Amino acid sequence: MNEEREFSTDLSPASGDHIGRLLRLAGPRPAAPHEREARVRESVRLEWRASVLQRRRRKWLVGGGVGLAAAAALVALVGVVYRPLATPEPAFGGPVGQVETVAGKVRMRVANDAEQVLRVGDVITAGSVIDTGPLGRAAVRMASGSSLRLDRGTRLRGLTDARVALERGAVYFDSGAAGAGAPMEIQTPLGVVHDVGTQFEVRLEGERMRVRVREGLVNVDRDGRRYDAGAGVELTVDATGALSRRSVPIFGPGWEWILAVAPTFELEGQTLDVFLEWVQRETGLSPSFVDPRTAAGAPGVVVHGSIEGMRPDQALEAVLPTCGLVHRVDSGILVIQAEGP
Amino acid sequence: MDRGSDRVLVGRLLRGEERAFEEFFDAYFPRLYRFALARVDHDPDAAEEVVQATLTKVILKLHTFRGEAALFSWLCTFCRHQISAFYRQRQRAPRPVDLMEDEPEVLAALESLTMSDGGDPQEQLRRKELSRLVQVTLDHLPPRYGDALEWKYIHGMSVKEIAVLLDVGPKAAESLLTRARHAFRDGFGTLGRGLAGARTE
Repeated sequence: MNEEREFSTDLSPASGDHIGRLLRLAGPRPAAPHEREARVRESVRLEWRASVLQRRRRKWLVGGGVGLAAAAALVALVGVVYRPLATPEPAFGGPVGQVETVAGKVRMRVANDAEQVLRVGDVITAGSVIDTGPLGRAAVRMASGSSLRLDRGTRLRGLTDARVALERGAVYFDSGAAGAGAPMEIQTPLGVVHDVGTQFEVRLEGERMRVRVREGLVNVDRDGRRYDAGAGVELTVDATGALSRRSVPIFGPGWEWILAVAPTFELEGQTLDVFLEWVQRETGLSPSFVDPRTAAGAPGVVVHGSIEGMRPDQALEAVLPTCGLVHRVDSGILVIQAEGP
Repeated sequence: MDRGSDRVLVGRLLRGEERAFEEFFDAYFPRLYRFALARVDHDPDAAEEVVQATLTKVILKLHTFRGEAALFSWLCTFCRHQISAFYRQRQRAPRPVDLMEDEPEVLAALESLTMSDGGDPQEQLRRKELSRLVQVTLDHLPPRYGDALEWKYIHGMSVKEIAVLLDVGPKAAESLLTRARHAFRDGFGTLGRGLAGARTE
């Protein structure tokens, strides 16, 4: 039927007022609901302002770098200029981080008791209360660069760039590779946990606090005493002050929940070894190549595409085959080898 | 807005001009929202989430905009990625949607232009799809063009009234309307011919 009819997209003036007719037929374009537009506008505006500020700071630091090379006298000046930028103490209500990942309904309450459901990109303000509810999880990128993740059933209060009070549930803190982020203090009713450049989880379970360390070192202060815990150690403190210590794996089901809200890795153009470093940091698995030649080539293998929305373990399944590689997990080791013939 | 003015707008955003943010948001949020809504099964919560995440990403990548594509096309690329991520995060496949600008089926819908009004559901569906194609074409025009055409032909405004809304003189408004008509005719015609060609291949 369609083949027999002459089809015309002729909208020339000679064809009559087709444009007007078409537009009237189509009607006005539907507008986005006002309240939705307002919500997104405010959130994106905050994000935009933060990005403009960050860009200005970066420019400042780059300018300072040039100055450093030019004259020793300027070194002191640059130091004075950027010290406050490196360790900002957020004013009450100022931005301290940004939501990178969110699953389910996670709510934030700010100073004036206004409440909002958090979405990716929302700015977290100092002093706010965050509640993940029974089904929510979230990952927050702190202004310092550290990653803070909140498990289901978690409630945080008074979050700043340097400390937070955990009222219930569990948080995972990652100060970044080489401890690049600022230290974080996690206050709980059962003790205070300080990180010393590390990855760790603090979980409140009834009358107990459990601290598990994946990398680096944490200090736990309780009743005037300080206890250290290194990688692969779990400390448990109960309401009476009794403390127990045991070894735990740094990978596996106990850490599974943090993968569910792991921030996306920008894969496009990265090298294979950088991608594997990210997988290692998120999963706790240590990559090991069967063939040393393949290992030596990893820094030269550039990977392409997007793994947005994938968990690190899913990303592994997707990316390695594109490099002609397969993997298996064996006692915490991520064994990688070339695909067989 | 042409590519040059897209670049200017992005430059102003990068410099932190508040007014540029308002212009950017007013011009692109409604269009992006419609773009997303049609691709997330008309779920307004999902569309809001996707557009917010898209614009957040875009803000961080503004410095990479080179003006090689129109700003709206560039935004749509981010939005498509975000929609895929949205479905991946929920571990479900996107519900298939037949969008005229995405599918060669546009030909059949466009043919309804030459058909008389009718009550049968097939034809009503075609007309609905045609309406969407017109709106998509308007969304892909520079924002002032799409608005001016709507004001003129749907709301019946005079050139003088349009000039006030655009904050230009009547002559400039008339000239803009002429350019807008040309742009619409070219865009709609090209889209129709392209899709018709795809269908007959």
